[in-house]
Amino acid sequence: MTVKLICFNVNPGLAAFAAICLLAHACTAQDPGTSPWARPANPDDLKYSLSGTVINSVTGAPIDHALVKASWGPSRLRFSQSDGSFQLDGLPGRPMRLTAEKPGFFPASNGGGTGALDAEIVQADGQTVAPVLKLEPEAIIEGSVLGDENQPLENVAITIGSFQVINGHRQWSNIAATNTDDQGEFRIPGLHRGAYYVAAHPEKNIDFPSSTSTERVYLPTYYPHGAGISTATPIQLAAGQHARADFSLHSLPAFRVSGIVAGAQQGLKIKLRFVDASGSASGPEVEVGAKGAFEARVPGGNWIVRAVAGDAKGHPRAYAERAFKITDNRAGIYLDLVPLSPIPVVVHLAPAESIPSNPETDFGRLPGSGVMVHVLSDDPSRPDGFAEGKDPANMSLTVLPGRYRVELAAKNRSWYVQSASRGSADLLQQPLVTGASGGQPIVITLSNDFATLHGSVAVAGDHGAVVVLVSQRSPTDSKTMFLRTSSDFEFHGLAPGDYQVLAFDRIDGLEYANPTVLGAYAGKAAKVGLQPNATATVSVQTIHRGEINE
Amino acid sequence: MNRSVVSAILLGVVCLQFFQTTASTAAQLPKPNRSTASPRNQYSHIQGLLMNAQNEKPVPGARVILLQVPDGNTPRVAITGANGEFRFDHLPPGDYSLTAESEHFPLQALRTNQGSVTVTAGDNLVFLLKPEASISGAVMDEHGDPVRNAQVTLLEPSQQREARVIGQTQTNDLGIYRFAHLLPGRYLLAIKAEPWYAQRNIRVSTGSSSNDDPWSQADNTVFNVIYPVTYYPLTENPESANPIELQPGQHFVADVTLTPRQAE
Repeated sequence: MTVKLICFNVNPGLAAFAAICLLAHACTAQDPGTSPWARPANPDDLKYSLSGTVINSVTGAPIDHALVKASWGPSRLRFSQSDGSFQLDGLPGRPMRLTAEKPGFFPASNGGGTGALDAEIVQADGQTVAPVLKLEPEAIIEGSVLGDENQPLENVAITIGSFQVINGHRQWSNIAATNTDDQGEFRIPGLHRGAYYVAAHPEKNIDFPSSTSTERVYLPTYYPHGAGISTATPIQLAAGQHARADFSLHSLPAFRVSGIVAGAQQGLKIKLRFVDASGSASGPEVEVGAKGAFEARVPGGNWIVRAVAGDAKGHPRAYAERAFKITDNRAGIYLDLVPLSPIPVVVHLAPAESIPSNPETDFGRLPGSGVMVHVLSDDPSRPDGFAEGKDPANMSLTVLPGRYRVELAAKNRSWYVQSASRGSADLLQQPLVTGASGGQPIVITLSNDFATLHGSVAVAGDHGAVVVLVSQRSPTDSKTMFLRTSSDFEFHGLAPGDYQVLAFDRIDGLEYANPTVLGAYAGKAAKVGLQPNATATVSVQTIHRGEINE
Repeated sequence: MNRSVVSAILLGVVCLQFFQTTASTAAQLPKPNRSTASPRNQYSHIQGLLMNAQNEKPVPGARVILLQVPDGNTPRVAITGANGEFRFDHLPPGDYSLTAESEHFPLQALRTNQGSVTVTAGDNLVFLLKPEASISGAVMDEHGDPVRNAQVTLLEPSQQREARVIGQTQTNDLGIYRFAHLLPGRYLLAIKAEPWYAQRNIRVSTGSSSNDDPWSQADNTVFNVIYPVTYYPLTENPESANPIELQPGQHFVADVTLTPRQAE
């Protein structure tokens, strides 16, 4: 928060005289906006004016025609001027929220700027603050897609993705998508600073030069020339940066590959994609007709064709996969979808004996009971999965075969996940590995002899602090709490056990759920053991990132 | 660039009548090698030249699509040669549609100002293909800033009926829109957008002791606004909009500045 106070540097005697004169003027003035020298008896009197500036947080340049808003229930609005300045009149002497916004800049809640602040606009000396509202400019990636002989390729799908740290875990996120225009150009605004992978998906651009010559096809390409994410180079964007990603693609001779995807239930939508058998490259994604027929143009080589039938919500319901070598046109490929067997998710309640019996612990009578089960894969082609079911004690999880990280959270704050397992795998510490068949159930036990942790952050940063709580029992399951104005915190509903507590000035990009990454801060962590039904207290110091080599 | 063959079929209007003797192609035609009309039940051919309607230069490498109507299931495709020539052989008797497209030439059917063309088997057709045109521009607000995500609709005006929607797109972050692959003709542009700064439900009374809040009333005037649907160049009434007369190959720039109006 940047709040610039109006300061005077004058002779004290002269100042006293001036103050008396101004006070007298304030008592007789008719314009309430020009008399900010004494706190009003009624803070609702609309007596105050506020002047400030809106600037670009990167360049410091003034921003004109930004919408500045002061809100305290009612609101005042004003456009900033060409020099970025604004003045809001008719304000009460109350705390209020000041915001600034303009297309092309991120609002404060989304970006790194301080385009919003909560402020007591009238200071102890009776003067109003002069805020400087900083807006972070959005970054942009634009570029072109050219094919053979530098022909612009139209209607090529462009996707932008990024590895982002979400809940302390590094995971792939699809950020934005667009299509090239008739000149092969694309433009994606609205990007935050970060590293982005840009991919062109031109597989629908097939050349049919004549009925006799060979068809040619373009394959998906990750900027600049990668066949997959592993061989791509991310574009590193600073705030407000404009970067170009120009693709120069070369078509490959293609064979016609056709067949049938059979076994899809009505209402399911089939997605079919060819994947290079080495796993390093993406092949074409192919449309499947209503009767399951497909025809693709595929370059020669070893390919895996994978069909996934999903429901209206995109949840996978059936799956088929075949590997084959393409050396010529090929028809009659048959993919028989196999329904994915749901994995049963059984949830037990284990109320602690020390807690008096409570009839509400019965699932059927406890609103919001049960547990949220969310599984995530490192493979972007495998969608997340959520346990579903009307009965919170007996749910099911349907996912493609693969390896998944498991996130668990009790829906009722008075309960916590005591254990989660599948066969011999402890899902609080190990990933979930699934095959095509459902097999063993996931068994989750909730208990309610939770612990509570009180604490305080000894040295908060200028912008507050973020407290990170890491369970030794399940290091990948971390909790965070943002402290804006207070230095005290409380975590409720914790599983008993040993914890590390850390406080950071910021956690953007910090893989705090990765024990290896967090190891760099072990010396600054407070360690605390939590007993069932007990409250512990801890005090931590703020770690200023950048001081430690992460 | 691919075009759906099916859409080609839908646009076809040429009727090739094998047994009619009065040819009336207005896309005429030198007829250097006029052959004798094919006897009934004998196979025949269609051949011709594909030329740029703007400069009458040949269009090589174009796709010419022939389809028997009304029941033809399998279109036949010919690629024009270096001199724009094309030919379909072994055609059974019947009616046919003929369409063509190429890079920078949108899909179009062989037609004349009078409508459908009737040709006789064996004619040497001259198929004049009109080069594509485009309309692009920038939508700006009253401050000179780009209007993002404005909905831009391209319409074909008609005196007999409501204007027909040809296409829709949105402006990008620079306020820019673009319609490509257009045939020459008359078009209307309609822009629908919301001021990014518009505020609804401004409380004109703060509930303060005085209940007199002229500042909120002033804010309501300035910020509780809309942009009316605006037709190029700057009118709210489609009747008084100036249609864009788009010529073959023309790239027309139609910039629009929106003016806010107090919301009701």
